[in-house]
Amino acid sequence: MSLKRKILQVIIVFSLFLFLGTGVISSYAQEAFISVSVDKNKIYQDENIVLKIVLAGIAEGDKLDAPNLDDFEIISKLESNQTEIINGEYTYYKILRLVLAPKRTGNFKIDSFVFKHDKQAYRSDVIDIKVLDKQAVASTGSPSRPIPYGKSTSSAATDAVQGQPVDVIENEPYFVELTSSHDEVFVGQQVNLIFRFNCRGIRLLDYKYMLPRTADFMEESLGEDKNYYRTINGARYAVWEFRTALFPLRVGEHIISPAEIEFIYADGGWISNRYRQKLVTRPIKIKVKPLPEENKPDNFNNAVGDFKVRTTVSPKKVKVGEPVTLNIRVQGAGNVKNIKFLDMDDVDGFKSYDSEIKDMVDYDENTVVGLKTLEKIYVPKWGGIHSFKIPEFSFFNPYKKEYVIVKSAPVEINVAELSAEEKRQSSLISSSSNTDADNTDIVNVSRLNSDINFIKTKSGVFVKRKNNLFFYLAVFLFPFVIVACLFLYSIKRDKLKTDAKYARKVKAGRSLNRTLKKANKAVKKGNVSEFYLYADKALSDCISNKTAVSSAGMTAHTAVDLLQDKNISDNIIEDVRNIFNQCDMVKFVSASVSKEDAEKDCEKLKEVISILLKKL
Amino acid sequence: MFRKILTFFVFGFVLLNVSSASAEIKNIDVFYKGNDFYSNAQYQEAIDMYKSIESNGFVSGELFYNMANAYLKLNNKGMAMLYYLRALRIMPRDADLSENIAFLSNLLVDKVASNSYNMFVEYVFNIRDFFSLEEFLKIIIFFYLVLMIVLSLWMFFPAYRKIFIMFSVVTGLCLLLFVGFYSLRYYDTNIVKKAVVLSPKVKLFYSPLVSDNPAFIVHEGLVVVIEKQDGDWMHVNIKASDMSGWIQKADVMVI
Repeated sequence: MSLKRKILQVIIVFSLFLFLGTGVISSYAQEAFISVSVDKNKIYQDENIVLKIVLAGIAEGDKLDAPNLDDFEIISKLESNQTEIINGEYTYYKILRLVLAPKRTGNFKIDSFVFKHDKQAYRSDVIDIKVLDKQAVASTGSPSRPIPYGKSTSSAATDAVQGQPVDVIENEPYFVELTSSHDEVFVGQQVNLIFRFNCRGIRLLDYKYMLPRTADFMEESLGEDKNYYRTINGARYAVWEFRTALFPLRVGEHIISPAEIEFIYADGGWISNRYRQKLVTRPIKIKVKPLPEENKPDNFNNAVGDFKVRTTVSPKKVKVGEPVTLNIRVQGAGNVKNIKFLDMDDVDGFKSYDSEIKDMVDYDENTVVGLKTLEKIYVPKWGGIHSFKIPEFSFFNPYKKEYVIVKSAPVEINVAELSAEEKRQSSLISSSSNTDADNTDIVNVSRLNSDINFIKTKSGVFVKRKNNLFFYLAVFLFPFVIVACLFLYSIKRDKLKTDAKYARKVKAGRSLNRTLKKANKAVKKGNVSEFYLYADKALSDCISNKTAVSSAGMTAHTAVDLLQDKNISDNIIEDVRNIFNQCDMVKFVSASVSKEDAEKDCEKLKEVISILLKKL
Repeated sequence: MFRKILTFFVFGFVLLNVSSASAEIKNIDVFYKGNDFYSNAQYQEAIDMYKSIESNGFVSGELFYNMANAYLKLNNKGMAMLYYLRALRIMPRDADLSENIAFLSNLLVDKVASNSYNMFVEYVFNIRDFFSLEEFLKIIIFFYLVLMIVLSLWMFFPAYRKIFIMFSVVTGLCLLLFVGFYSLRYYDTNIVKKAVVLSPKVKLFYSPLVSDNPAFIVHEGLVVVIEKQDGDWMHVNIKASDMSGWIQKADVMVI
């Protein structure tokens, strides 16, 4: 081993320790594992392989012991980090890619990498590598005979036999080959179909590749088309490579129909001509074997591949009504789409909800890898320590040809009872959201479908359809009229308070009316003397109020003088004087007056007063 | 004489109330029968029951709401929208009603976006649509009576006139504000005539004549604004768009 190579290896191993020891690695409790894979197990001597090391859940102080890689030259290395967050749990991945070049032909083994984590050692699988002579064609492949330039393609494609080396016709400008990674596989095991279009000395302008028909297989892409150069029999060819992963669905011998490519090219002369050409490969036969019945687990559910299974139940301490999540992750090489999880048993003391299953398929060089997750939510109904049984998962590993059963120990969940206040609030929430549901129905409330709200069960107040204009008019007018009246009354009241003349006038009028009524009443009763008393008072009040002179001491003489000053006619004045005189006669001399005369005087009094009220 | 008049009025009032109460009881009875039919998925029978109340001249928001629900169950989206909107005029803040209108709107073929206004106008319209006409009237009457009482007190308690003046100004402003909102609501409800398309698919024309060249097609449940009428035709425009055309009266019903 040269010094340079030794130094390179030391650097790589040192860098492995370095990145394991860096502080960026979280100290969270995570499930650790190591996965080591290569992009291809069979290569030619002049080809390289990519060794991929994936470390999950690493922490500070972890170590990785690399096996002896003396049979390979380490061309380059590449490190990358990856963080995954599921249910709030962080998982850190470190991925290291080493590009290895074989030093010689033959069969080699890459021993296990040992990942030391938390006083435990995790070992990767041993990897077999077969390095072929660069002159040989892959024995498991099935290259077709190169199609001569300008000749019919379909007849030429029938000559080659699968699995037999095919000589490349020298100086041919282009040929196609279709190979499969395996001739014989288990049902569900991945087999790669590789189509290569090799050409030299021409300028490829356009091409159209037609996939072979694979009715009994499920297809998965292995990435974009590759374009590279390779040397065959000393001639350098440009290669267009198309790769497809197939997963057989049925047992038996299956023929994969020929692949086709139609392309347009120009020759390399100064004045180039364009040509259209179609090349067809020969078909490929693949034998699909059934999975062995020996040691087949009872709960086997047709998962084929090499998977790592991780099951978590979190959180481990909850209160009644708080959700607990069961998470099952199946990750690895194989078609994860075919994986079916077993039906979950009901857990005593828990209300379970429908599982949510997701899958993600990707490719890693020649291998289809994927991740399938199941997430199921359980809600504890009552407190206590509940044992959570983790369901088993089994798969068939076609590389080791054995069934693998992944079992996990039961997980204990500590469920705390709710306090009295929390129970009350929980019941309030539950009763307001759904009266039929129990207290645990407070999570994941979602609308299943939509419909209109139910009819009103109470009729409300029925209103007769009519014109209510008059009603509302009355409602508005009535208070308005009242307020208007009150307003007028208040004005009058204020005037009575402030205007003495007006007040006396109003008061006099009322007093006069009252006196006249009494006088009238007295004469009707025949009480003559009382009548003349009232008559005197009425006439005095009338003249005094109208002339603004006090009524006290009003006599016939003063009254006549006042009336004369006011230009009242003489006959009225004479009537006034007569009434006053008559009153004086009755009051002071006690003259006897008949009832009839008194009635006449009463009429006269009314007439005189009405005239005076008008004229004064 | 006065006693006779008083007796007449009291007797008349009692008689009127008794007859009104008996009609109310009868309507409630029919309403519950309609509800029973609805619960048994006999929607047409339920509609018949509800309709009988309406034909007697009695209405309520709940009655219109239930009728709309029954129509919607029979997939008669036009009638359902019509009665939902009638119910909305009586009970504008009913959450069930709003949800059902939203649900029905999603089912309609014609999706018409509502007009967008500036924030102030939106705010005014929200207040306008928050109360029914009847509720606005009650609020106005309340403020009016308060104002009248305050004015009366102002006249008779001169010592507190300053307080009464302030109070009457505030009450008067509230009164004016609600009269304004009432006017907007009245305009939107009674002056702007709206109708709902009842036929599943209706052509609108550029003139009140059936021709081979329709302006556009509308579908049941769409609310249109009536601009003018001419015989059996109405010239309508679609809210929040500048599209208008002539439609036959038989295809729509005024809300």
